[in-house]
Amino acid sequence: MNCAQADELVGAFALDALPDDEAAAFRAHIAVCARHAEQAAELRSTAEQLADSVEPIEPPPALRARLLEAVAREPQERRSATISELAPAARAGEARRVPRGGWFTPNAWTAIAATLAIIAAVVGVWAYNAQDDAAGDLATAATDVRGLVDADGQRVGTVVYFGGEDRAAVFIDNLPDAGQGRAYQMWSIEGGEPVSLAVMDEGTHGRQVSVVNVDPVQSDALAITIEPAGGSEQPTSEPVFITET
Amino acid sequence: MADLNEPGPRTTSGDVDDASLLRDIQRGDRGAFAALYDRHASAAFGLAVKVTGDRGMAEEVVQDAFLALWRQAPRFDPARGQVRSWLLTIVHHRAVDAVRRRTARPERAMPDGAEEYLAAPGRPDEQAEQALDAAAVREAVSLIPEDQRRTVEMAYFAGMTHVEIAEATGVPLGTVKSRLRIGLEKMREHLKMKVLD
Repeated sequence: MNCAQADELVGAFALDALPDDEAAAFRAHIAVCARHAEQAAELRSTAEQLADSVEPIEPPPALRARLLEAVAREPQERRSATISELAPAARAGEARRVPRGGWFTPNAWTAIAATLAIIAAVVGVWAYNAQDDAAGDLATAATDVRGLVDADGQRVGTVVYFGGEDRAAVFIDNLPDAGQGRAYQMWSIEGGEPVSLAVMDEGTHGRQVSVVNVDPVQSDALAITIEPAGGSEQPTSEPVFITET
Repeated sequence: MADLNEPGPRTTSGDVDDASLLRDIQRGDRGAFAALYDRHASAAFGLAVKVTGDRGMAEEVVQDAFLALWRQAPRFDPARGQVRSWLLTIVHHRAVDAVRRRTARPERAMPDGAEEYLAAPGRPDEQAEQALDAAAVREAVSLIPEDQRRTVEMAYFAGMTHVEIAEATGVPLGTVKSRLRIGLEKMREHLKMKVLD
């Protein structure tokens, strides 16, 4: 989609009135076009205000009762930090550590899951680094394991830290193609600032294992963003994946 | 002190309360959740009834939407948007979904309103716009020229695609597209002028 076509469709996009194929093409366009990304966000925000043009209607009291009963049984999702949340803390000069431990809560099931992940990770490191004599050392030196989640909090992979080596192995189960001219870039968030660790090749997808140099003591989180192929100095978008906090 | 019987925030100061309620909800406070429900349930139900035209279906939509808000609250960043807009976005998307399922219209993936909102970039100018009450929003909508307003409302309240609107009205597709865009742009300008008033 070019800018002239996007001009035509921006209103329909803001109102979710595009068929799926056109909506996907429009999303691909605004991933690379700041002008239309901004215009789409503005018009979407305007469209959302149509909700306020409706006369309120008092719902039946039974709905409130049902809902509060349902909420008592409904667990809340866990929170994952984003770069934009982590960065302001550093600018304000506050030393902020991201709390750890989602994985190491005293719960038998998470302990078992963690053990399985370490085993999977060790096997993965061996497979990835089969010719590397260091692999054996790495495999015995895991100091921490954290889940890698997407923006919805869904698990997409695992990060195994090797504290003694200042390295980490990043396992991603099924990486989608970042798109033409785009590449995944991995960052370590240190004291609120993103530090680039690695840029993946354009077109990288599927099961991925990467070993990066990172000091687990300095690093609050690992984050992965989609950047123009070749990578960026600073992240230009919100992370698509981030380690669980 | 705001009148607690008044449904929904009428001023920006009202939303300060929403933000603090949300912080309590993020900590699992069900009392705060009940308070948030009391503030916005009428707006949510009014919107769901308008879209679905069916009170039973609207009740289900509102219940699902508030439950989604409860579940996802820990991931909501109050600095990036308003709780009320987020809630009404979820209600709107779920209501449109419910209608599309009922009428078995060609399937179109309606993004989950909650996810869309959480994933969207910040809404820097929304703060000012939200200072408007519902009457001001209605007036801004009424100032959009008839053809454009009706087209925008068919997309928003009936959940129709541009193609469906063109087929239903006999208006050429290109005209529908431009009415949707120009209609929204005019609404946006009217809302901006309201804020300046």
